[in-house]
Amino acid sequence: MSTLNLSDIERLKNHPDTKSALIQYEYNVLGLEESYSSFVERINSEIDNIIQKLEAASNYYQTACEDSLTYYICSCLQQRSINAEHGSYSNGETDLKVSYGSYKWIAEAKWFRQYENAYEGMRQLVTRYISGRGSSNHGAVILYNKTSNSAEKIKTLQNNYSEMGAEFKNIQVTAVVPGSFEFTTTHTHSSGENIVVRHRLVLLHHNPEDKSGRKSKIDEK
Amino acid sequence: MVMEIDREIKEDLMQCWSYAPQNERYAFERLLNHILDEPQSRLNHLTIGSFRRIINLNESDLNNEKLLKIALYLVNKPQLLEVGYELIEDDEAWPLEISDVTEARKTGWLAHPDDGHPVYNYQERVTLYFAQSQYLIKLKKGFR
Repeated sequence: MSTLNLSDIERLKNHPDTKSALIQYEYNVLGLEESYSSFVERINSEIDNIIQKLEAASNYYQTACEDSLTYYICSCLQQRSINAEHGSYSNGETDLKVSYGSYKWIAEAKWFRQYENAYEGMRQLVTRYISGRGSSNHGAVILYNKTSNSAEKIKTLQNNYSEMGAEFKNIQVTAVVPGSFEFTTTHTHSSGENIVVRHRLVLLHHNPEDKSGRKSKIDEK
Repeated sequence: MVMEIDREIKEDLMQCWSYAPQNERYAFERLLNHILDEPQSRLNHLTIGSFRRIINLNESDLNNEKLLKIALYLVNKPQLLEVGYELIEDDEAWPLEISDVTEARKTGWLAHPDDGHPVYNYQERVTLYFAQSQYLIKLKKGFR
């Protein structure tokens, strides 16, 4: 592949390394726009790939602050030519804002130390940052979790949200993928529009029991 | 002054790649230095093959998809490079306008730049290359 033809480009639009960069190029230069739902699906998929890398190196992030973890995600998105910003303004300082033309996708990121951290992230996201317009009615709460009981925490969170209709009008847990440590909710925004929020745990638990693992934990401290 | 601007541009862009794997970070830095330092006449027709020679890494060290991701970043974000298209026919290259390619994408056929006849199997015969952008040319003229 020393030169690329148009067939190669079509094929590479399905490759995880080049997909977003090619779609962004086609938008910038050729004026070809993907739908909002495709955009959201693509960003979710990119975030998943990046989170998998974060999780695979969880030992390096035990003492990291929330901002540096989110900055890592943001940088990885930018390397894929995605217009991602950390700390940009949208009725407040957003943790992660992705834009593509008029489309927006915003995420709030929190350390998941207690359930209230998750709810506070959700409140910030849906009452402050997400406008409810059709081209910006999806977002995410990213929860960095260092404890070992992730499966239990995500299940409890799902159950709790399904009973929080007083705060998040008509809230429903709409998509649960078993074993994926994520779920999606929809609820009616103050604008009257439906808001879709993906709740995604990042598994950063690291507690090796083997000899070299224990030693490296001590060295890290 | 020139050196100062170069340094600022590089630092700004390298910041984004600070968390990238070492091979990608290295390749990005080599490409960035190359396009900032080389004379304009040597930046008019760059392919994935030329990028690989510039970064001097084998495919086993950095695959073509990751190399293309880096090149497209330089097109999309700082807009230091731009993409051109040409129709390759019997060792002859016919330059195409962006609008020719956009039209072909929409209609499913490409008009030959010489006689306007439909080009058979154009997806296989139209190739893409990279070149310095107008922005990079201005940047170099302004600061050098």
